[in-house]
Amino acid sequence: MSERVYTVVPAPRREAIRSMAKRGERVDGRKPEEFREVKLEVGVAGNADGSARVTLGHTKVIVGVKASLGQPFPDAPNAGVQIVHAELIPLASPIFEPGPPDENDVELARIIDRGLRSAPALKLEDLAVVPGKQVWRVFIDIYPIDHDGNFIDASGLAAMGALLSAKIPKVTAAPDGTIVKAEEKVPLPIADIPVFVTIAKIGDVLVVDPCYEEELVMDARITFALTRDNHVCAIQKGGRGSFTPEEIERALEMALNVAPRLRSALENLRQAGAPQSA
Amino acid sequence: MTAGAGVKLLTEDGRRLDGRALNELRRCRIEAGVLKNADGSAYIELGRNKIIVAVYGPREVHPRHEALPDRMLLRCRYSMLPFSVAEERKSPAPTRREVEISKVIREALEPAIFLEEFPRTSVDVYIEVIEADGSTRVASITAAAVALADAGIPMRDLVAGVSIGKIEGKLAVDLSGIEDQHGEGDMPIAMMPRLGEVTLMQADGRFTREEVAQALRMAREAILKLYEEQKRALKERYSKVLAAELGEEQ
Amino acid sequence: MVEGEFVVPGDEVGVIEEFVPAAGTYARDGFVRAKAVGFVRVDALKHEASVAQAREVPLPRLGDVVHAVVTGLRDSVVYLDVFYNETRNAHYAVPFRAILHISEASNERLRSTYEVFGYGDVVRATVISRKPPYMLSTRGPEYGLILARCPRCMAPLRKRGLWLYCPSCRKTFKRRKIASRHYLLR
Repeated sequence: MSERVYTVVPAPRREAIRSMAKRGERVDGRKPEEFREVKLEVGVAGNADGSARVTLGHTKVIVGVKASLGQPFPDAPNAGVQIVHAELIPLASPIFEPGPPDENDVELARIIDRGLRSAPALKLEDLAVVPGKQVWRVFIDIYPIDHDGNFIDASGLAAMGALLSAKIPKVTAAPDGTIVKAEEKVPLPIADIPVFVTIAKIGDVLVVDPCYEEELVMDARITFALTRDNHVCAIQKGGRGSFTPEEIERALEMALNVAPRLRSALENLRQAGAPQSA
Repeated sequence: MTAGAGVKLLTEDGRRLDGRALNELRRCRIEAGVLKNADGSAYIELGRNKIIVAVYGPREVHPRHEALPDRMLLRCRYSMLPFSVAEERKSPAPTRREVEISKVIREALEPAIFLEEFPRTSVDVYIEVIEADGSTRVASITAAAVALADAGIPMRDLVAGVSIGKIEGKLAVDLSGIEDQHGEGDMPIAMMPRLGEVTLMQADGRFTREEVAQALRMAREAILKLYEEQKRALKERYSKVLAAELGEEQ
Repeated sequence: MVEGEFVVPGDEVGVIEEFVPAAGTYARDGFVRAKAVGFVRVDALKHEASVAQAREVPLPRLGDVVHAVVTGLRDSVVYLDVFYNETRNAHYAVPFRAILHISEASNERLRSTYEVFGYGDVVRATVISRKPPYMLSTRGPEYGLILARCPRCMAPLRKRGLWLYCPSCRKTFKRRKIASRHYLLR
């Protein structure tokens, strides 16, 4: 991301947004604790095993899931593998440059990976086919295509939407270790549905789900991944500024308040899919 | 390309696997102006292909030493999302195939653009394939031309493309993924529809001189149909834009 | 072609025998053709055919008023990043580099650009070249600083009559070239 872009955020605009925040107002007319309207569509990429597109204001993120059989990691021989990759492609914003993933791409992928892993979203132990030898490797690829702030929360929703809508072939392992792939497809084993909520700090004010302009002027942000029973399963503080402990507690409360609404879209998906034990 | 590998691509009555006639395009839908950040954008669905294109510029060239003194620098990046392919997940790093396709797409678009109007600036065309089912490079060109026009870049003409393939010894328009995989040849062609000139042509497989001539005729016919859809998409986009502007004035 | 008809690049707007190609068009194969998406305009008196573009690229043009931040100073030139075009109401996410020569900084004679501008200051200027790298001018009363900081303490400078002063270290800057009556500088 080009540093020059940041140096020229028009100073008057910066001051305007910050003084609005002080009065409890936001550039797009929202209240500080208000999340933008979320649109979740699944099955947007037919060659993926599962896919979803999330629209959050003008922010758009596509996530595709592809699963293939392969070797487990040596430190977890009896579990499937979850790999999250994210790329801030230049198609999405003039401030993204082509090239190999930089720290922003990697941070986004790793936040989502941690949230999904600790919840856990996938029952990885159910994805081992021949323990120690053959397991499902689930690739979750995150691609923002239009940037209007808060990629983390949009990516988290799209990743969960893609996982919930994914179908993989039913496989059985014969006693001699050969694997038979059936025509029949089954959903991925899902244990929990984590959602990600990001709070930005602008001056002394906390706002949920920052839009792009707010991200440019914010002092810092903090993201919470939250499980269904309101546990925190990942945290990431970002930005040059700092939070007081009280602010973090307040931010967590704001996040817990909006999480159920975000999760409801995903729960609907799960109910629409094939029944499964959970 | 394994000719006659046992997959029947034509039925007894000469129809293709998806029921199309040999000279029939798949369903094509284009939408212009789909992204907010980009200066111009377009989304195309051609059969199951889904491709999104963003255009940025004309803008300052980065890195600056790439700037050209007498004309605009056009850069294209064609890439396939890892989950866009029917096979196993594709690595996100650019492949040799993507690098070559990016180049031929750029050279398919350049003849249509008045590059000399904005010297020392760049226009970047970013193409992402979301779902691939054969003929993605030509579908990308068709969408990229709409995105460039949407950005207001001065152009001589639009550009549209189609692949002509050879299946079971016969020429067919607009190859699908399975036809590309099991057919005997693939000849992607792009043209400026109004001016009638060819801006991209490649081929693999074997074709006679007569077949090449016939392929060009078939391509021309299909490209004029795609052109109607390009024009419709741009018209729809700008009737919306103008309606929004009129709304603001009131 | 009919006045007001929607055209895309390549469309025939008229024939060469009848019309001269004007804005948004070019001539080829005996036709005046559109070179952008837009609507046909016909001037029967001047025999001109043009296309009113639905969207024009927002590049800076000769005479445009722009806002730019000072990124470098030499005695005789100022380097700037143009980030906003007031004439076209366009923001440049990737700024354009621009140059301002000392002779274009002010209507007065200057010994050095350091007298009138500081690093990081924002100026309102006019574009005096046709293509990149853009040349800017701040001659004229409406052009010059619209945002300036004290080079010692970085506090925003305030206006006092025709001078700028620093409210925290009390230093006065008598030679700064300021845009008069601009709302940002008070």
